[in-house]
Amino acid sequence: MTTTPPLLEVENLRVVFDGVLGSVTAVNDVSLSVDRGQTIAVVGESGSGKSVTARTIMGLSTPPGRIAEGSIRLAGRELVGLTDRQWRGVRGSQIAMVFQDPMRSLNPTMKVGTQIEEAIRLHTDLSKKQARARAVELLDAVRIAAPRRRVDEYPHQLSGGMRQRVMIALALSCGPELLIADEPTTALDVTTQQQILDLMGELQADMGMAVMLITHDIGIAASYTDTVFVMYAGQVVESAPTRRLFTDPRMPYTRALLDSIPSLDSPAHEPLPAIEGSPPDLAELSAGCSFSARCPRATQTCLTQRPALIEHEAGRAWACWHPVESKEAS
Amino acid sequence: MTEPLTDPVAAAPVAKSRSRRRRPSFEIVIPGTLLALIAAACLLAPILPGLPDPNLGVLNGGEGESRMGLFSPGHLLGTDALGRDLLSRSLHGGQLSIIVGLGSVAVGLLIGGTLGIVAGYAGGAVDTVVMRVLDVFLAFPSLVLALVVATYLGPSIPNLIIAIAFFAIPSYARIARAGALSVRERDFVLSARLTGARAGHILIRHVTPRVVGSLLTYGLLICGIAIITEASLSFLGLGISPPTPSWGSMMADGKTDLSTAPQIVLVPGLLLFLTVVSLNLLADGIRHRLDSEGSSR
Amino acid sequence: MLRLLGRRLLHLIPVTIGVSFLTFMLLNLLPGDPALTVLGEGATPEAVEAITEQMGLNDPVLLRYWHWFVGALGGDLGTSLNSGESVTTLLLQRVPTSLEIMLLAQIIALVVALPVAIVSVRRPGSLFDRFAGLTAFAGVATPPFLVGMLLVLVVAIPFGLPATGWIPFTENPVMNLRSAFLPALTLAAALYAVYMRVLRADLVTQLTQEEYVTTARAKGVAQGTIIRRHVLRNSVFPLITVIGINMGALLGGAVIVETLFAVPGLGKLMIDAIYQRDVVVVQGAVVVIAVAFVLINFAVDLLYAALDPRIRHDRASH
Repeated sequence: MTTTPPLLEVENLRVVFDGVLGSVTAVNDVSLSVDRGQTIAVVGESGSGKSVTARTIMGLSTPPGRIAEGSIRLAGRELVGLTDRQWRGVRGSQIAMVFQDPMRSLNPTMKVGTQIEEAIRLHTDLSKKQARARAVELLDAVRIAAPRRRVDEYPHQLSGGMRQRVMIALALSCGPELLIADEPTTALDVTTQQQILDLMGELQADMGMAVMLITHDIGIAASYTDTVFVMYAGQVVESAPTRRLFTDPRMPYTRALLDSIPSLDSPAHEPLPAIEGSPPDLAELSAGCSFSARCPRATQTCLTQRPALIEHEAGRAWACWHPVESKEAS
Repeated sequence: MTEPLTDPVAAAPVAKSRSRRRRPSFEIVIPGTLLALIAAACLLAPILPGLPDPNLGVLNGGEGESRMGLFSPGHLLGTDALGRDLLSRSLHGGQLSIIVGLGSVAVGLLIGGTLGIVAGYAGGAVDTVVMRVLDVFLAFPSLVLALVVATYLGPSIPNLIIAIAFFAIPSYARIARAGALSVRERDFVLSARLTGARAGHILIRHVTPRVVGSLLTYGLLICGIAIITEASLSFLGLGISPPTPSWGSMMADGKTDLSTAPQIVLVPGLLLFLTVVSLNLLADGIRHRLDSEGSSR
Repeated sequence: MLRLLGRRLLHLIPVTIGVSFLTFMLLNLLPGDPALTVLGEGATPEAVEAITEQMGLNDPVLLRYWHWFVGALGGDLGTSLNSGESVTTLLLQRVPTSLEIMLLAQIIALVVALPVAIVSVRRPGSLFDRFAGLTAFAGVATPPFLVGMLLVLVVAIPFGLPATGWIPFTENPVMNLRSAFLPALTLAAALYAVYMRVLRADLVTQLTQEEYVTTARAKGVAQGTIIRRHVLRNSVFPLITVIGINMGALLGGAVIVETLFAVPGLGKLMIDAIYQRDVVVVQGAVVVIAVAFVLINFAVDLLYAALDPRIRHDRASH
């Protein structure tokens, strides 16, 4: 679609956790890309490898986790194999991250202003005073009332939504090109969720950064993103422009996920279809498609051979031997 | 829904680890073996061949001149100022440490453990009263308490055990209480209560087994502290009466000859050190084992 | 938070009374006749009877406790059976010496334990970490009198430091510090071991389990800075509690160390009184030690509350 190279390119990423009893492949052959200013969603259940993928892109995978294979390029620069010092130059300044639980992800015994200033001073030449002024500006930018007072408060003095705003201010403090938001609204109540997502959307438009939204909630992905990557058991099983994924899913897993969203026109008092079974144990993956055990369309082929993620149409790919029939074709 | 951010490893290979038989780890085997060796040597000291009587001095000269150095004939580690065999006295002294250590753990465990389980399970006023009284005991530095009790009870092994067990009671009670509290609200206890089981029955059948593990592990640490406390009392001359050998009194005897004959202090000192270090390492090893089993459940 | 403080303060009263009552009972119900201590073993029964009556020893034990307690509230802890001196005066003379040694021991233990724990967690499992872990185990497993004698053997004798004796600070500050050094170092060994282990364990827990550490790493903060600037301030709180709890061990250790190094502190006073069966002095010393322990732990709670913003700011919001 675009002629300029993408901002972030992840190719064939494989992340392995070495344990005493053998290795577990948490992320298996994942490829994805994000263009400048674009918003993508990585959707999956817990344990699907979406968070590990995000953390690996940030260079936050720690032993026993390690990158076994693959490449991560940011604006053309290879990140895999960077030294710790080089990584620190990337983190916080080019890529920033917002985490799930804002209570736990802020230091409870440090003033929120100090936590923002620390990031600013690490990546810029601003003085202590300037950094503080910038922190106040940032708090103002994330719509925190009375920012001058709030910079001197501790996380427990703020509400959950405000804490997450602080986290966003922290992430934006050095003008990153890519913001990774790992389940940023999961720990918040519904009305706050909406506000935080709207805020992120506005700030993204203002600052022109790209956003990678990691979520288990495919509904959130629908309204805020351009492209969706669906992950299952460590693999990307389908990727498509958001609108087309929702109107015309091809991978049976995606279809099942979409069917489980309640909507206004679904008949009342009728149980929502749920996906039978549970995700496979990553330590004991079979040779076949990892979804085969739960898939209504599975055949003998699905049990023995793993389908590759293939770009079947321009801009959309799926990994399935027996995809759901396209509604658009009929 | 919150999604805990754990390593897939920690969660995934559970099924396997249970089926695979656990190898005994070095953390447990090494201190365990060392403890067994020390205990065996001390308890078998009376019948070990070639070991002289611990209280029989060989006087060859005036007082204080009967000391023999390391590797003297008949005395592998030499003798003290009264010509008594150091190795023999050290091993016999170990018997006292073992008896006092195990005895005070048993007494503390029985009294403290029972109080804690009852307080934690009963809750309310019983809990408050029991724990407040124990707070008072906890306010005494353990050695000071043991000193006072030991002095006024007089030097005998049961009295030493009582004096030393005193300090362990409140900490045992706290551990047992915490365990009982955590178990009390669990489903199997609730269902036992709802089906009309008697409190005593629930305590013995459901609560106690779940508290015993941590109490016993803690007992290893307490045993080490008890051995040190006994040695400290003996060192201050408030332990078992001479000439019965005790590590503490042997070291007190050697104090004056520290620069010329450090072995008199170092031989019992090393035995004491190895015993207590092994107890601590063993407790640590077992706790690791319990933790890793607990987390994979 | 003020309410919490009030509750703790109220809690102090029964514990203090309980401690003094327990001590009194222990010392009075246990065998041994104070009258004999005063008069010596060969006293005539008439003399014993007279002095027993004079000391009020024929009163019921609860009444005697009441008399003692009322006196103690007014600062009068009785007179020594042996010397006839006021116990309060004796204690006041001895307390500063013990305090000095214990304070020095705390400083030495913390000054060593903090950097060792911090360096240890930089690379868990490294040679340094393992060695530090061993020193901690050794420190816990060695009784203070053995540590003291080992120090005499490897420090005092080769370097010609005074092994025993005490020079008051007012007499000669430098010599005072020299004479306090070995006793303090001896006490510090066990404290170091406890502090190092607690701190290391807490640092590791925070580093591996706390999300704010991940946030700091995501900001690009280096590991060493994360430990020093972010994790240490949170790990200090459990350490403060542990410092309070270990005051008991420290007070007990002081008895031994003061005896070993012939330091005229509270512990030496108590031991000497025990040797001489001077019940009144023992009682005064034990009560002072126990009450001090309770008060120190109360002070530790206050300190904790003053330092931890999570508690400190509850006052503002409630």
